[in-house]
Amino acid sequence: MSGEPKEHDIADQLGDNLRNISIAEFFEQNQQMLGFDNDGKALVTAVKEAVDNALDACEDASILPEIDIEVTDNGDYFTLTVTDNGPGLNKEDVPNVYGKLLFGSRFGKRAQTRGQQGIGISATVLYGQYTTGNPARVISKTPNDESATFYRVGIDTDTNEPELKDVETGYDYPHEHGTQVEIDFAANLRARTQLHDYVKQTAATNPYSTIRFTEPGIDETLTFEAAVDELPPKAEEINPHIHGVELGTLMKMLESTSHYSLTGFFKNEFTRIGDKTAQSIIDNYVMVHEGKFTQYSVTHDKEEIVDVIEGAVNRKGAEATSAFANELSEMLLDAEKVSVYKLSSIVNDVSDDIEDEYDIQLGETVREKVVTAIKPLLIEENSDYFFEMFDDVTTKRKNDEGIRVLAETFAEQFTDETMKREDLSNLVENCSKEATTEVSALTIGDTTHEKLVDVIWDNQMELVSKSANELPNTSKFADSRSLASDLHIAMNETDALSPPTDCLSPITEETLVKGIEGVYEDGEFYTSVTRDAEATNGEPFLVEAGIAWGVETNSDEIDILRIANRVPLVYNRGGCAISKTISNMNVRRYGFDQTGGSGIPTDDAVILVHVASTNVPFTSEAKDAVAEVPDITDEIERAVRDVSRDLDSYLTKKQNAKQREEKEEQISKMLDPMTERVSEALGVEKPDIKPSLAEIMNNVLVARETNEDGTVTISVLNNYRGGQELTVQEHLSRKPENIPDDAEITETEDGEYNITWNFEVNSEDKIEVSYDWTTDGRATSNLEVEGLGDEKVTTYEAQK
Amino acid sequence: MNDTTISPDEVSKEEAIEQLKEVGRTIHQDVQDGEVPSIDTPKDTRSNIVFDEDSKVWVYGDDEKTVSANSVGDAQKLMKVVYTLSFIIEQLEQGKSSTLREIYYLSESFDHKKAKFDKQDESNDIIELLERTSLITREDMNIRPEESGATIIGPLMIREQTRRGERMINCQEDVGEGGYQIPSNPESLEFVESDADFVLAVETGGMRDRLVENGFDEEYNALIVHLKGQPSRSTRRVINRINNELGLPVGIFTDCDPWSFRIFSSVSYGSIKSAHLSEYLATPDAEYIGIRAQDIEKYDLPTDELSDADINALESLQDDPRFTDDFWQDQIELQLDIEKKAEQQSLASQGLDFVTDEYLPERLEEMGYINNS
Repeated sequence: MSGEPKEHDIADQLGDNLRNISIAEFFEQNQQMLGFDNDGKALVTAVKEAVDNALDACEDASILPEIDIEVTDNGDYFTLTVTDNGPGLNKEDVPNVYGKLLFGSRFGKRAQTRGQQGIGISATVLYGQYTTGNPARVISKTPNDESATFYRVGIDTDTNEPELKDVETGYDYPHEHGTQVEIDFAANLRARTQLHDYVKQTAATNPYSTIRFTEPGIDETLTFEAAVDELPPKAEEINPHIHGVELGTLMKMLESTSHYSLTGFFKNEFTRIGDKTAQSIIDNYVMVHEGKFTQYSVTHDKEEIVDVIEGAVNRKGAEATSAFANELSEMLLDAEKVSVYKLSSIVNDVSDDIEDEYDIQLGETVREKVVTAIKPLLIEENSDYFFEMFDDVTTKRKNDEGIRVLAETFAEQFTDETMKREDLSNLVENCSKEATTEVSALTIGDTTHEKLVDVIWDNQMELVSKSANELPNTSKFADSRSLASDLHIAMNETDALSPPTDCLSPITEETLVKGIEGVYEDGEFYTSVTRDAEATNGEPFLVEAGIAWGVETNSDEIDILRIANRVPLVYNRGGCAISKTISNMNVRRYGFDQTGGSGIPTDDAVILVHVASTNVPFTSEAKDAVAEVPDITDEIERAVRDVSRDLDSYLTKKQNAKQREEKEEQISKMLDPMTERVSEALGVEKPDIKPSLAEIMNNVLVARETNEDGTVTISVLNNYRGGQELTVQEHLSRKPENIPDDAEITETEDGEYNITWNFEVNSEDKIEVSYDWTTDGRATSNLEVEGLGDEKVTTYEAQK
Repeated sequence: MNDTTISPDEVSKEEAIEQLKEVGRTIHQDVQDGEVPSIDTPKDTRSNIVFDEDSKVWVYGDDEKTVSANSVGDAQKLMKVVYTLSFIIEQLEQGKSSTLREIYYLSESFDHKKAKFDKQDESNDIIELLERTSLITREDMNIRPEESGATIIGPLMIREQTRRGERMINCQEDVGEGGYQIPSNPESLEFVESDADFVLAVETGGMRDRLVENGFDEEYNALIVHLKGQPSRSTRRVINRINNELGLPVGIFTDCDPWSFRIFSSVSYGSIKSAHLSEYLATPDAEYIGIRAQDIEKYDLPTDELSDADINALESLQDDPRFTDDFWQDQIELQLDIEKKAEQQSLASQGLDFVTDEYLPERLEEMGYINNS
């Protein structure tokens, strides 16, 4: 349907603003973002929005698009009329599609759509209304309608609500169904080149469409007929990937989800998330939001620990107390490192054991007392331990004394039960300051600082895993920006499988070649490639490329066709990852004319690059240049190399054929007089050099010999290394007789005859065929060979 | 004898024409059959010369090189061969002759510019190639070199067919100090009688003049032949004939360096380029008199250091199949060892008469050429 939900990114970014300010204000402030920054560009943007809309409508309804674009210059303003053969719009949809900005914007579900690249047709309606005061005129007819309906639609700029001014039925429509929109707006033709590029490139990349373009000052309608008659497969919609959502989108998803727990939310609303990954996200969230538990090393003698424990336990009986202290101290020594969390759980476990064994009560108070008694002991004795740890990560130019002071300072202050990473980082920084003040020879640079934080965070901090039930539910996250933000960080820090790629819809190699062939005519070579889909930042993407060689271009340089989700990008070539990637590649070795092996090549050629993605990254909100994301530029480079290699092998073949022809000509020019000389010296007849020449060139020799009895013998001798297939045709002005069975004879309209043979000749083999043909001297014959390059065939005719 | 060697037997004009036409027929037949036109000749490289036990000379082995129209370069070469061949056949049929240089200039008149020679070396090479292919000598094709042969002086009576009639010449008494000039085609000579005991072939003009001035030919009954550096075919042919027909031993007297050793080898063994003519040109009995490497130390001769090119040439001779005998291996090794070379005329450091009074008599007696006692 045209006017299907559009652009989620802009909605994300601007949704809040829209609630607070009027649409008119919004529009004034954001003209550039919407593509209406000047009158020239406005025309391109308007055509683009309307055509994208029409193409989307047709494709969604599986209709081969037929689109008429008409631009007229009315002096004060321009009028754009775009007519499609799409499914038409229901009456209730018309106002919202044309009269409401960001209608139906939604988040979450994604597939490769054109709509990512614009704000929607309503923005053009708004611009038209803003510059001319005229509402849009829409005529639409659905398959069920008897006649088409006419609407006049405007926008109430205070409320962003549609203003429907007229509705009249009984109109004619040029197609069985479809929609026509007519908008008046301020425009000029300064961006005519870009407009042409857009229309032409749209035809090339959507070759299943017929596009007609009528423009001011040019009488003839520019027509691009569909080059294929099949629509591409529709892109599947997929859930978003945890690496591919913005914070705002995440919050909206949390708000609208029916899932109460985070686990259910992630498993059901994101792609490729199972229990394990969901738990990893939660663990990472806990780490980000709550931090980790501080761990202490158990470096003490058993007696020392036993003493402390026994001192903390009163009136529980000597035997039980001793057993308790003994077991607990052993558990601690075995653990080597304990956090307060773990210490408590060990104390609880041992207490339970002792309670059972000795039938006594070890209540909360006792347990807490024990924990409180052990904790300072653990903290006290840690400076040697930290010294060793720090010593390991500061091997270069270390200052032993300084490191020791740092270890002592840190051991003293590393007392909080839990810490976030940033807390730890602050602590380490403070300790470093203290230590460097005391020992002036000590310096702790940024790298060392990070190393210290890393080694402590990884070895001396314990993550205590929680289940989703222990965390707030999804609506709590939806309500708190800070909770959601920590969750967002955790999502990006969690590894997850790449998203599936069936949400992408490539143009496909074959269709793409037909598309560029249809639009960039009379080239000598065309090729294309569709690469496998990949993913970056949770967004699936794929790259396609094509070359048209030997075609007319806009300038001395090659034309670079930059296509994002089938929509041509016609502005900001210099800032686009596609042009930059090509410019940085050495394509000279593939046969391009590229001075110095970099820069835009200067050939009569077109390179097309199509980046398809659920979310094509652009350099700015204007969305006229693809951003330089390394994964994507790598694929662009590979795609361009793929097609360049095709070109290279074509050019090499062409060059070889040329060299072969030159060699044949040169040798022939020497062989002929040489044969004449030798025949003269010997006083014998000069033989034809063609068979010899065929042998020298390893060519296929096709000979036509007229024998004395009037029969004609055609022989095919293959001097080539491999088998060859070829078609030999005799065009005769008079009817031949006794045609062999394997030949095909046809009579032409003007009473002449064609005999056709299809030969398959193995290397070094010779095939001979004969037929009867009596000539009175006036009859003519003409031998033609097809199926092999001219440079590989030598023909000759002789009389016997 | 194998079929890559020209026998010294006389060849009639008709036979020569027939054999040259045979080369043309191979090419014509190839075109007729739709094959790649080509001619095969023995490969003229050091690796393809072998010693022929019967004739005692070095001849070509079995390796062949092919000139075929398969490549642009070779097609052009073949074209030049054909044009030259057709000219030679015509010249023979018309009973005319020409010089090597004339052949080179003649190509200017060919109707196809690709058939023209770039330089005379090219036309010389193609005539040699035709000799090897047709087994007809250049002389039998009526082609002469520009320069006549070297000179000869000594007790020898010669009958020469000149354009002005038959002449009888005594090479000692009827000639001046310059000696008798060997004609370009020595087949026109007849050796009538000789009192000579041996032939001494001398590399340089200076040494040859010294021997004549000192009366060496008279004193020792020697035929002194001047080689003039690398000897021409007529000079080598005359030495070959004197050796065969008069049964005189032949000594070669040159400088002591690798280039002079090659002069010796072309007289004695035959050259690589003309191994097809070895039986005709080479004198396998010829012996090396000097200067020898040992002489440098023995007579304390003034010397030059060996250059890099000299050393390379000596090392190349070490692997040459013609230099495998002990005498030459010792010579080369010794010279590489002392790293010195000496000219014939350095003997003058012991006095102008030293060469004729002491050096040569001693050496020649030692080798059994003369008997002083």
